[in-house]
Amino acid sequence: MRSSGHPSMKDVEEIEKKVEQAIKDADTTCKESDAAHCAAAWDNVEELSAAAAHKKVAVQNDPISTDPLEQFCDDNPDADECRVYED
Amino acid sequence: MQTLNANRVRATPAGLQARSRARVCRVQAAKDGKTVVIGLAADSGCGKSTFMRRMTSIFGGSAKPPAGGNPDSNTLISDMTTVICLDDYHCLDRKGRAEKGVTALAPEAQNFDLMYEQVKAMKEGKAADKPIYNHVTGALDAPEKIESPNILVIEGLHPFYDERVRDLLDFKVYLDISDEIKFAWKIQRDMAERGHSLDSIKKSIEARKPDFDAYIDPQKKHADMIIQVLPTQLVLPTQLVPDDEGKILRVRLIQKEGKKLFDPVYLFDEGSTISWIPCGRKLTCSFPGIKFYYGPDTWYGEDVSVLEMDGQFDKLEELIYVESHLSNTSAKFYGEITQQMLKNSSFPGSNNGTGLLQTIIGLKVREVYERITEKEVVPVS
Repeated sequence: MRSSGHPSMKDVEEIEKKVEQAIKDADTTCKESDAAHCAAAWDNVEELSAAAAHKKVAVQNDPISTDPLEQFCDDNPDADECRVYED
Repeated sequence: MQTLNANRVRATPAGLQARSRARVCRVQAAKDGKTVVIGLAADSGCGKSTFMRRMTSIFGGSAKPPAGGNPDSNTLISDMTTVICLDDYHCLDRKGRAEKGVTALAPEAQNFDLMYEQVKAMKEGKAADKPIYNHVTGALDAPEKIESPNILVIEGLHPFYDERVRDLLDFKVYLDISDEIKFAWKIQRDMAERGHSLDSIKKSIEARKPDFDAYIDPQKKHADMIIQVLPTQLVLPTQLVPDDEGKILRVRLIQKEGKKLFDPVYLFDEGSTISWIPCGRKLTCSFPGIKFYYGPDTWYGEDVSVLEMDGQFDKLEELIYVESHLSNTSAKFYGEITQQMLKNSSFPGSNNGTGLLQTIIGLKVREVYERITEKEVVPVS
């Protein structure tokens, strides 16, 4: 999570990678283990898929997350435009 | 306005202007009087659900995570309501459940003792240090302090499972999605995702079904109101464009009779049975139109009234016309339902029964709150 506390597309990508891995793990678990562990593995896929979808909605609904200046400053925190005043 | 939060501001001209404005603090009104507790059973992940947003919109303010806290908090706080996610009471985290072969649906994964203790405390006006279940990492994070609100909503998979918790609830809602619709929605949600395929989506639903049927579904007999989301009956499945699957919906609001805290909404006359197609000479609707049904029924042995809407709203006129023919909606002024639907028009389901009936449930929650506290809630403009 970015220090500003606003969700970003990078957060979304991070979760999407976990979803991909969880699907692979579920396929493996179902071949090698019992029904209970297989169910737990697919339940995990569902939990992560839901989290990814929620994060995407959060990014779309957050005006800061879709602000091009903020996205630039993510990658260039030392740029002049990205100086920050702090109380 | 480039503000990151109230204290940190970008050194651009707009940012510096915003800095002086950004010192406004939002203070949740100090709570006096009773806490009303609402339970919502839903399988859609917590706190961010559309249902929750529609419900809290009736009470005003916008729901946000606790300020300055864990950014992955599931809790949402607005002026009068606090929504907590019952996943926070998992006693087994992702690793623990994987080791034991237990799904998040199983009672073994929940700490019902803590859930009861903390819901009871907040109902009695005390704050609670509630754990946080992080859905991204799958771990249990450090607790957050939640103050007792006017309206506490507990949302998740097991709000009515434990009898002690159930007895604390003043109003219970169950969101019952049919298998076909669940499948259609998950395809829309996941198909474009890397790694997912029709096969993986099917497997994920099938693997969860035994635990869902054993532990989650039986709770629906305890609810005061149930929303059922089903495929439309206005057109045959073969006539539906694939894009419309899961979009044209038949939505049923099942309402228990004889409850002191609310009166069921009805069409034409209470206790009678009526089918109504509003589209005709006064109102032209686009395909496939709208059909309403209202009538008495029984639900697990108890008397209920069912209000059902099948189809889609196309225009504002349709919505206000329908609203004017519904009775006992608990709206405080003519057009309040339409106004709420318009205010939230970006939410999913805004053109069908899910939006309409969820909004009506929100008004019923307000009615329950007013009857318990004997206070009046000023409608939001």
